[in-house]
Amino acid sequence: MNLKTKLILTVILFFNITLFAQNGALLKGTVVSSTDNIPIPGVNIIVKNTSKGTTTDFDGNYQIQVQEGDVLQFSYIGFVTQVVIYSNQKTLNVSLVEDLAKLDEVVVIGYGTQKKSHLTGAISKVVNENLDQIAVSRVDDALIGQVSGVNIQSTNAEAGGAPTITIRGVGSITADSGPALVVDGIVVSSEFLGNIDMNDVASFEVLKDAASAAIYGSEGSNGVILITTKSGKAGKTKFSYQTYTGRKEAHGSDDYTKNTRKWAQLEQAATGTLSGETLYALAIVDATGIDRDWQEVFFDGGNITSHSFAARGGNENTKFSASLRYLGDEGVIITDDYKLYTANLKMDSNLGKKSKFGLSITPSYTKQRKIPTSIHNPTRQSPWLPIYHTQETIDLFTNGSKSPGDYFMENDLLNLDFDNDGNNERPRTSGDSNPYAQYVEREHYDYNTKLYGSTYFSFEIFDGLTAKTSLGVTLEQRKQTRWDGTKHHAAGASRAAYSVNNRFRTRLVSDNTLNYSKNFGNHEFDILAGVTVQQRKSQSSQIEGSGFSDDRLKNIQGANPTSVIATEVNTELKKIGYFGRINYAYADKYLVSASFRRDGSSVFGPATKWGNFPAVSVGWNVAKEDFLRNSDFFNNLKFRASYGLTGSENFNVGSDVVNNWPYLALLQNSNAVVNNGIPTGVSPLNIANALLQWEASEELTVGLDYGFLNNRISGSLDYYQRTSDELLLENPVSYVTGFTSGIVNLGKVQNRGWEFELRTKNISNEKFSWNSTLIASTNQNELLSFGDSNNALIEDEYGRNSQWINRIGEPISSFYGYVVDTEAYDETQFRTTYVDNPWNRINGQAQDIIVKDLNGDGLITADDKTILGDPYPDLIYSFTNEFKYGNFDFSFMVQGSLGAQINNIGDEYFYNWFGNSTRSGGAAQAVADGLVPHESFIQEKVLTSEVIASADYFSLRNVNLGYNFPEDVISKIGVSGLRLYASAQNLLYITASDYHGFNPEHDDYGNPRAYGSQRAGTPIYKTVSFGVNIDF
Amino acid sequence: MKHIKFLVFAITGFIFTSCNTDEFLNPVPDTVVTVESFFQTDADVLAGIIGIYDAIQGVNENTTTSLTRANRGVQFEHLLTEHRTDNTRNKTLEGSKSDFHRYVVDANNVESEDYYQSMYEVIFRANNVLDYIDIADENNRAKYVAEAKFLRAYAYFKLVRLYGDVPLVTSVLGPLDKEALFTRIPKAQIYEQIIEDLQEAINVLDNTQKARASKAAAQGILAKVYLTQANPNYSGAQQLCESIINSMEFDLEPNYHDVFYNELNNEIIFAIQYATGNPNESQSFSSEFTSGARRQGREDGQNIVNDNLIADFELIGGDRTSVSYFTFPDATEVTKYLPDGSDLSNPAAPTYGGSARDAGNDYIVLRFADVLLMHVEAVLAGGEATVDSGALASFRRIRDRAFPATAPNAIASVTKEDLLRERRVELAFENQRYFDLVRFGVLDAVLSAHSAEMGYVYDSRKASLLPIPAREINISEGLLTQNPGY
Repeated sequence: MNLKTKLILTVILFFNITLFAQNGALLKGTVVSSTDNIPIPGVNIIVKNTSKGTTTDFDGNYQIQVQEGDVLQFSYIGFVTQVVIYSNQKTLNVSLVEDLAKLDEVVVIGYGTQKKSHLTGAISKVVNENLDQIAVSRVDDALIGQVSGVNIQSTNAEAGGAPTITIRGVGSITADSGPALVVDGIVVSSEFLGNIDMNDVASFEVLKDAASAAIYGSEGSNGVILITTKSGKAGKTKFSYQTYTGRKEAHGSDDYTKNTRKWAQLEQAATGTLSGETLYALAIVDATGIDRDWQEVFFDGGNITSHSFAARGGNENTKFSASLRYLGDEGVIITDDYKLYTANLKMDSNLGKKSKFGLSITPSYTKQRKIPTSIHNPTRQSPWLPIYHTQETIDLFTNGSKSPGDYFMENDLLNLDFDNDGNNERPRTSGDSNPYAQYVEREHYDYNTKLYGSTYFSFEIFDGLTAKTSLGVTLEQRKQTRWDGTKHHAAGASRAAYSVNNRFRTRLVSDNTLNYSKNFGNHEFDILAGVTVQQRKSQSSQIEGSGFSDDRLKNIQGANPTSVIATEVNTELKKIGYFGRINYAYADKYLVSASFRRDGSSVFGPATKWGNFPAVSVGWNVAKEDFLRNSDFFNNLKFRASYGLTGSENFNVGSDVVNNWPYLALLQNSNAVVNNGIPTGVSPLNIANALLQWEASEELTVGLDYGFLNNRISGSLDYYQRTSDELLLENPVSYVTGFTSGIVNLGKVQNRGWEFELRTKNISNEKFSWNSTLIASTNQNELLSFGDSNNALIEDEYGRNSQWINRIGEPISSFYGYVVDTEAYDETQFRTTYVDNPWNRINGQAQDIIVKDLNGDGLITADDKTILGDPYPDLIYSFTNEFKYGNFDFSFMVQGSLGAQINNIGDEYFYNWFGNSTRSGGAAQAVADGLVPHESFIQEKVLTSEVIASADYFSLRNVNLGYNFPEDVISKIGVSGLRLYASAQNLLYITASDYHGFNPEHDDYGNPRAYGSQRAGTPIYKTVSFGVNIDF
Repeated sequence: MKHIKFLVFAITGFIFTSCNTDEFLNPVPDTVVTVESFFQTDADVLAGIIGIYDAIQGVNENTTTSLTRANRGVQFEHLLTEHRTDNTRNKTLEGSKSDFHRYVVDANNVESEDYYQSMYEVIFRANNVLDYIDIADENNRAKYVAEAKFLRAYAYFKLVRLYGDVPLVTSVLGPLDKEALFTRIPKAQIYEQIIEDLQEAINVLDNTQKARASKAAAQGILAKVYLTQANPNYSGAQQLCESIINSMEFDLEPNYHDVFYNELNNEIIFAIQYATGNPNESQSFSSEFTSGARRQGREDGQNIVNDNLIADFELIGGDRTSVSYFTFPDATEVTKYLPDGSDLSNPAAPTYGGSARDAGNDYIVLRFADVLLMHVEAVLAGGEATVDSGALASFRRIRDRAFPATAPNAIASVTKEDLLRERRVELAFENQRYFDLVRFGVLDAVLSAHSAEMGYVYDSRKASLLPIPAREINISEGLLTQNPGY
């Protein structure tokens, strides 16, 4: 049979597989585990030498059409495969024996797989059991709390926003600290996490230590997440439909609520009278009946809906999986919205006995309306401010130039004398426009059209030696439009602007490997050699314009042509990697793995282009030793140690061109207006660094896997120490050079910590079971060396003096500032202390804030600053409990983080710590709440310990209650599985008492040099959803 | 079948073994040019010269793609100069821009740091072009050198007056030349370099350009240098001013309004130009000045006019008053740089045209009126009053334009106080007042009285010099010293 015929046949098979008629008798039965008689779901049952097959349902039941003499094969991971010949019985119950000898769970590793019992690195596996029932818009959101050592932080909680994933701490100051992503063996952009359907995911493997990740060389320095997608199984085509719909509500902040009448009461109580501004505000409240906190307007909640449809099946030779998904997430903020459409087609086929090929294609489209400014902006506005004018508000408070339905703005208000003191005034809020208009009149969209595709072909050259070549293609088209309408700002049409950015990215990855796997008696070898070539291209262009006269054309067509500017940036990154690995096991007891990778990257100049990344790891299965082999207590006891090097060449210095060609001296356009013309000008863009080289991470892990008492207690314990050296750093240089920074290799950071996983089967019987999982990880970050940049300060972009410092012996980018002396808050005293100091600020009348004179020299100077905290958690933990009773199951996870701090300057905005006495409300309330002694004592430009809050949180992350209908009920309606469930996320989310914002996990910039800064953050939300899964 | 499979492997293997890894791993950028490949012709060197003008122009803060910290240059200059005098103030106390008018700037101040950076960017680009000057046509070479040195002198003159002793570099330095980058050179030495550079410009350049360096521009700035330096060279300044006056190439615009709204007019000697509506080539300060009630600017309002200045305008403003500022119900705002299409006829609802935030109004570095008043100052030569006829004539030309109805206005003598006030009113909001107070030796006296009036705590050290940016000191490892008071 030639290839063509075979391909045609394959295609025919593919389309007709469901049409095969099924004859003979119907065999039913249950498959249970021999150890505890608990039914096993998902057992593969195939009729050998036919295309027939099925799997057991949630209760271990199966049914299959058979004929006398059929050979039935029952197989399940971790159990000994059993073969039974059918001899006309009606039912066939099978009891599978646990394969303790092999503990044969297979784990996906870099460029291959390995028996779990043979692992020597730190790899965590998460099987998608109920993850797809968590109503979140991205798969990474569902992984929170599932893996030790992995911190997934909701740094951007708007609908569709990506969380920040950190594995074993932050090891870079300028380079990217996110893990690499590999889907079915192909390296893809981490953005794929936002496009993949959780229903298609079979399992996640997280390569945490360098020894495991080193085979990925320069991709692996921050860990690797491997995703294995679901494949079809031989047998009848199974269809499944999974859907849920839920409601999301924001966790607002009670600390930031505002109310005009409450302010008035506080002011009356404090001063015995009401100011003109307050009386004015009350008059507006009386006229409109509106006196509400803006959180009520902005945090309107939203629905989340998902529909996922899949068909999976195949025969022994060809298996396929096809799926289609829609997800709609309205977000919890008024305008944010996210829609995802994605499909997946995956096929694997045997071509004869020795070769296989397969392909996977995942097209997707997302549309996201992003929030146009930080949420603190609108929600901090005054509660008396209505959204729209009415005839009454126009008549009472304005000069009449407005019409009913126009946005109500502070600027519209006439100055009036409500307190009859002879002075006209008006109440203040601090927005440039109506807060509602700030969001509704600005439309910021991201459209992403992506295609991920991969194919592979493998061929067994002779027994044990397999060659494999695969090609991965990623096409990503992103269009970002940013429309700011003519009504979004008080200044009207002149502030209208539009920009559109189109970016097309491609990534081609070609992997070619030879794998030799062979057992010689007690010696097991697995040898891998390969070469990988990668090419990434990005072509982006941006057009922006202003000068709009109205909102009719919300695109560049409406802009004034002279205002239009266009830019184009193309980049290219190419890499070649050579790698090899030997895994060796002796009698399942003594395990050794060694790997080596050599990577060349276009990012570096000729002298430093290549980097070497070796790794070695060893393991000892003590439980297999004779002295423990017959122990009733130990089922598993394995010691592991690993050491490896990984590298990184990714960094972001704000210019895509410099990011890709840091070793070349580049020029930028520097045109200037001269004699009313605009001649071409140029100027240098960067300081070229021809010797820039790989950032290298060196990691040592020692670990222990354990299983006691029939594996009722199992888990692992790891200690790691990762040292990142030659950090790729955007290092500040003197302005006198004409530049602000240069990219250098400088600094050494260490992350070290413990990872602990404990899984227990507390109760396990046929009717009721209760399992628990405790996961806890610690991390400590320390800057070990920083050359002449030790103590380098980085200031904040807010124009306020928030500062980060990089100091040897401390975590990188720690918060740096003054310590507030709370005991000194006495108005009468601190006017006389510190006479000569920088805090004589506000009109010279009083000190702004009292800080401690740490060095005791009697003066407050920069020397009195100290480290106030760091944004990295010391401990993250989760505790999951799963209960099963009959057909009901219930699970919940509590999850939390301890020891991180956050620089939340939201307080300054919400309490109006800007020393402007004309602003109403904020100060009075702050005084009443005991938060500040007096408005005029607050100095907003100084980072003090008062601004730094604890970022600790404790959450009831997930709750899930499900019911699987019994098979005898649903089989009548022709379905093989029916599950109803209710699920909830973040029903409870408790933050530290000194944190006042909306989300202690939020980060404004995603910039490792200024990490942990926020202005209250995009709110954490709770979700309650209901779902149905149907299999037929 | 078997053969096909092997063929596939063979092909794949061939592709990767035959690929030239050197070529593959060295892609060439196609949306920027490299320094190596660029400087080839005279036009390329000229593009480098234009790049220096781009640096003095600064980057509009309102450009959507602009970086958070970039060269704003002269667009922030009013904060460092006008705000630090009795002329103007910030509308609110929010953010680092509000620190200047209360003399509470600290060493981390964003705008002061940006200005320091901006001026060194000008100097760097000038020094950098000089490295490629041999590529230029022979007959253009001297002119390009003079232009680059003029602009370098312009930047050093700003730096030395605002920050005192500063590092002096006249060639391109790398980040490792720490000694030169972080050693503060005494002011006198900086002035020597400025004078040398400006004299070269005077010798080489002519007066054909107003938006690029010219002989008169170099003369005028050198005159101001002579008046400013520790031992003023009054006769040198007088000669330079008279040379400009006698060249008859410049004259006062008859109508004061036209000075600001008729670009590159007769009165302009050197201006930094902008183009309306072009986000890359426009300026932000016009909109910041029109923002008393957040009308156009990013901030809550800058250059809000102090009553103290209004009093001087009421005294001697004449026709200049209505052009210079406008009193709205909530603030008095600068109107010398109103964006195209502005209409203030309804003070309750003023409009500012379609491109207020991308304004094209030029920044006037040097105009003839300034030269006339410097002439008076040079003749006065540090004395209390003068009756010199030439000086009186120069002074009268300024007065006659301001008060045309009573022209010729009788001027019997000009006192130092008269001259300072005349400069304050004539050149209000043109970033001259601060430097005038320094030159006239009255900075402390005027500003401490002003602070008392406004309720500010006056710190003479902070008023006299701005801080060397803390980040510079921080990365200098102790080489760089700070100014007193910071």
